[in-house]
Amino acid sequence: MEIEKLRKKLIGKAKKQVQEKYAGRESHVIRAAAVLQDLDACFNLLAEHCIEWYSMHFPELKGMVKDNQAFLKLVYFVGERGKFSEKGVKEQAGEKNVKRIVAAAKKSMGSAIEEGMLKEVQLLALNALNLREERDFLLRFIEKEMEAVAGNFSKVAGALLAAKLLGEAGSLRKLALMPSSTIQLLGAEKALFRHLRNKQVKPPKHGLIYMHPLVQKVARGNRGKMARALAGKLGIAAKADYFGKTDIAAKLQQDLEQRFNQLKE
Amino acid sequence: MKQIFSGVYSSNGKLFTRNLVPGRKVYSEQLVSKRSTEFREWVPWRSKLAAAIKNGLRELPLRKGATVLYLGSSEGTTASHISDIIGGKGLLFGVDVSERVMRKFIQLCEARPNLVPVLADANKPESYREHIEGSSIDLLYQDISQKNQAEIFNKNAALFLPKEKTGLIALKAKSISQRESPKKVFEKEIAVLEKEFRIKQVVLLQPFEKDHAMVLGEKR
Ligand SMILES: C[S@@+](CC[C@H](N)C(=O)[O-])C[C@H]1O[C@@H](n2cnc3c(N)ncnc32)[C@H](O)[C@@H]1O
Repeated sequence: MEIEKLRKKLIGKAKKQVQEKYAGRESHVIRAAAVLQDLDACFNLLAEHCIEWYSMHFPELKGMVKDNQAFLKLVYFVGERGKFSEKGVKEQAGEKNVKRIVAAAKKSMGSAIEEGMLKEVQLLALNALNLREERDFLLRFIEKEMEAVAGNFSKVAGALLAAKLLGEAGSLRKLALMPSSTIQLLGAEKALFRHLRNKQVKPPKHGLIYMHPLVQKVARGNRGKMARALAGKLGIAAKADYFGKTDIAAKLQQDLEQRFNQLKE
Repeated sequence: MKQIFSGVYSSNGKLFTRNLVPGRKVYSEQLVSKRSTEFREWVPWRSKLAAAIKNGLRELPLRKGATVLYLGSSEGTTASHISDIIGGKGLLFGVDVSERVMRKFIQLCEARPNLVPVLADANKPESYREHIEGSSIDLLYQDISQKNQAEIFNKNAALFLPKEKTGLIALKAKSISQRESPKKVFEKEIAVLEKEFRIKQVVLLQPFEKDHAMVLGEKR
């Protein structure tokens, strides 16, 4: 009996120690997710400027390299269009359109560019690429941290979406106590205001969880149903994480796949 | 099913323990039922103690009702099999520093009535002394990848392990020194352990674990 008492006491103690360790930790990952979103926006803005600027020199490239990051790498690492070789293009931008790009560089109708001007465009490209790299580091941090803070929830939602939802809810505790109908609309408030300000923006239907691949891939008319199912499972996952239950993510994911298959067509 | 140690069974080259909580797996082990008793496969690729048994460990001082102090219990893979062996009347204190693994281990403790979690640094046994010293320890087991692993083991043995009781420690050559050969490293570590233990056997854990050895000793 003594031993049973000791055991109960030590289980309680260890639980409290673990909870304290993680309390408040989620605020960091919430911040990181917010930063990540802004980094994306900054990167895209700088990339657009850079692409427009470089296009005075080599206007045909824009149509052949759709990926911004690949484009900037070509600007920074290859530079002047006279230096475009198959090897160089492949290294920076992959296999696609290599021959066409090199041919276009040879007979481009863009204007020549001075060394000093090109340097400016290249520095802009480098800074944008660095932001992009920072974004990748941050995403890895978010994945690791979400796994520790709310493993089940993170696996079902995907780390980034999970962090965003957590941010909208405010804390894991609030998320765990939230009805699934509220989870379904988390993040919709912002979109709602955007809609009210500008009627060209459509009113929101499902909040942030609309980004989830299972909702995206389901037939359009069934997205509401898929979002509802997802919100339900996310609620269960958050409760399991907060109240310290076992790994249930695999089971939840399986159930969702099943629902997805029903709603697919 | 042939019993090779108290509570440890062997069949077709595989090791098993009787599942204390029938129907429940702890990791990805197989469950096998024989005459209304459920056994859990004890996988030597996942548990260094199982690897040591496969490789010829001569003594395993565990039986129903035994008390164990386990340093570096992690998520409880090995601890769960010891829990099977010592049964409902036994007791195992699982010490680990990492909150992340402790969270899983706590869940295991709630499911198994003979497991007790201790979130603490095994380098500082004074910090959990008050909880342990009321129990008489039969086996001190350690699996911690730290440079001073032998020293940690000695400290805990000096505080908690009565004379003539057994210590089992999994030594990892790589965490002690990257430069010296594993054999050299094991010799040095064993020399440290000699201060508190009479060494009875050293079992290499290949092929299950690279550069690992299990050392069996009796407390001086
Ligand atoms: C290789 S794992 C043990 C695996 C476990 N014995 C099994 O077979 O299931 C090593 C564990 O030692 C823990 N550890 C490392 N340093 C420690 C310390 N100073 N005190 C307590 N635990 C420690 C780690 O957190 C980790 O969980």
